[in-house]
Amino acid sequence: MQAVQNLVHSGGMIRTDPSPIYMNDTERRPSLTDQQLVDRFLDNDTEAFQQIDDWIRAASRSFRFRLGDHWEDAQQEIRLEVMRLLRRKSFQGRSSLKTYVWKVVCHSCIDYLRKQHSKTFTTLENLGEKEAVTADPLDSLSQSDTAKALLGILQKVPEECRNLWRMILAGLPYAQMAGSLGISEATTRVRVHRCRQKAAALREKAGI
Amino acid sequence: MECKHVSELLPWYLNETLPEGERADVEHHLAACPACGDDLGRAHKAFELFNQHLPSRVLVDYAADGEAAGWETSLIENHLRDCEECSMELTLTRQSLLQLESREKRGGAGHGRRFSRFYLFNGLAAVLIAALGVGWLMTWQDLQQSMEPQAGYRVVDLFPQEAAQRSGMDDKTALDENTNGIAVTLHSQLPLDNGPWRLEIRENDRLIWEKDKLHRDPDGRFTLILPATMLPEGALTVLVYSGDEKTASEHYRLLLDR
Repeated sequence: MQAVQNLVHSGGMIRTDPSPIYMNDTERRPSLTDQQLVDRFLDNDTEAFQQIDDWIRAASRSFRFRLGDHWEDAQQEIRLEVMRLLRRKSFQGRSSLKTYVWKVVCHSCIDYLRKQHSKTFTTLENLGEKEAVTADPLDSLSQSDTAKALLGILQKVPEECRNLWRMILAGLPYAQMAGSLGISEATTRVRVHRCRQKAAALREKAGI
Repeated sequence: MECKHVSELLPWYLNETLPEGERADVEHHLAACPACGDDLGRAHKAFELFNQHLPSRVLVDYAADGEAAGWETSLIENHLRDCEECSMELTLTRQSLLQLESREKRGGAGHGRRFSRFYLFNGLAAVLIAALGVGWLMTWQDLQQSMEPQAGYRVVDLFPQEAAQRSGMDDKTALDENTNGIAVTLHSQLPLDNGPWRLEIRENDRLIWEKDKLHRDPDGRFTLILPATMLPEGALTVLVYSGDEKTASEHYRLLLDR
């Protein structure tokens, strides 16, 4: 646990003690299998932590700009998530450990990005209590199935409606939408309403 | 607020982009009107549908293998064509894989660290030398450019509308196809201590451009760089003001001729 704390506090840059296992990198890299690396990681081996942390940092770098000030926080969450998954023996060896860590990093970063931008929806029942639930947590398998079904329906919605709603989701008011489409504001209002009805009807028909 | 108006505002209410006052009005109405409550439910169904994205698992699997288990590739690709957010996330995921691979090719962390100081010092020295060179070059170019007018940009000095009319300064600014933009200096007479300043550019009532937290130089002037493609021909009104109530404001007139 000491090694974990060191990583969490120092971003993985400080070594507490030299590893008794590895003399140098050339000796370490070819000799360790993924499972050995996992075992040593779970055994609080500093070098193993360093290796996995390096993968995490390299894999999350492309998300740095989008995550902005939250990048460091996101990395901490990813480290804890990787540790949690490896402790639960989620790594089955179907792919290499590096690929597995990369997938976990990308999952986590995308979910973190979406969490940052996700809108909250206040239902009528809890208006008084000001409670909110997130609109798009797609973690479980059933939610993934729902997402697939909804995306299937979305493809059936006319492209014009998808364009209109893309503007709404970007926060454009009616006037700007009308200006961008070259139609009157009143026509825009009618089209938005019709698209809304069409979408609700398609969902109702599909029973979702 | 009438039901029809509330219904029209529901997409923005769900998107949380309604101004605070309007949002409170909508919530107040929804709490009292069961019919609009039902309408909110339907609007939420539409909102959820249009705001649907590929699950992160699917995106990552697709980035790695070009497919995702249990998902039709055509569905993924159709959505990616439509959805900028998912498309951007896919790009980041692919970049992430490339970065990880390139890091490994460079020799991984331990190996890299061993040589990192060598590369760091040499890199810093190279950057310093390059910066000095570029700095010298830019100074030399600035000297050259300061002696001749900047091609591609028009420099415009604007005075508050009343002052400009009094002194007969209402000149047209000519833009041609080589004009990239105009650099506008607003010679404001507004008091210096009333910030932060906002700016709006309008053609009649149509808002063309707006900007918050406008920078003001110590002499009270505002400077803007406006791309030529953004600006229509004719008379434009530039409004500078402070505060929501526009307690201090000034109008400028910008005449563009193409």
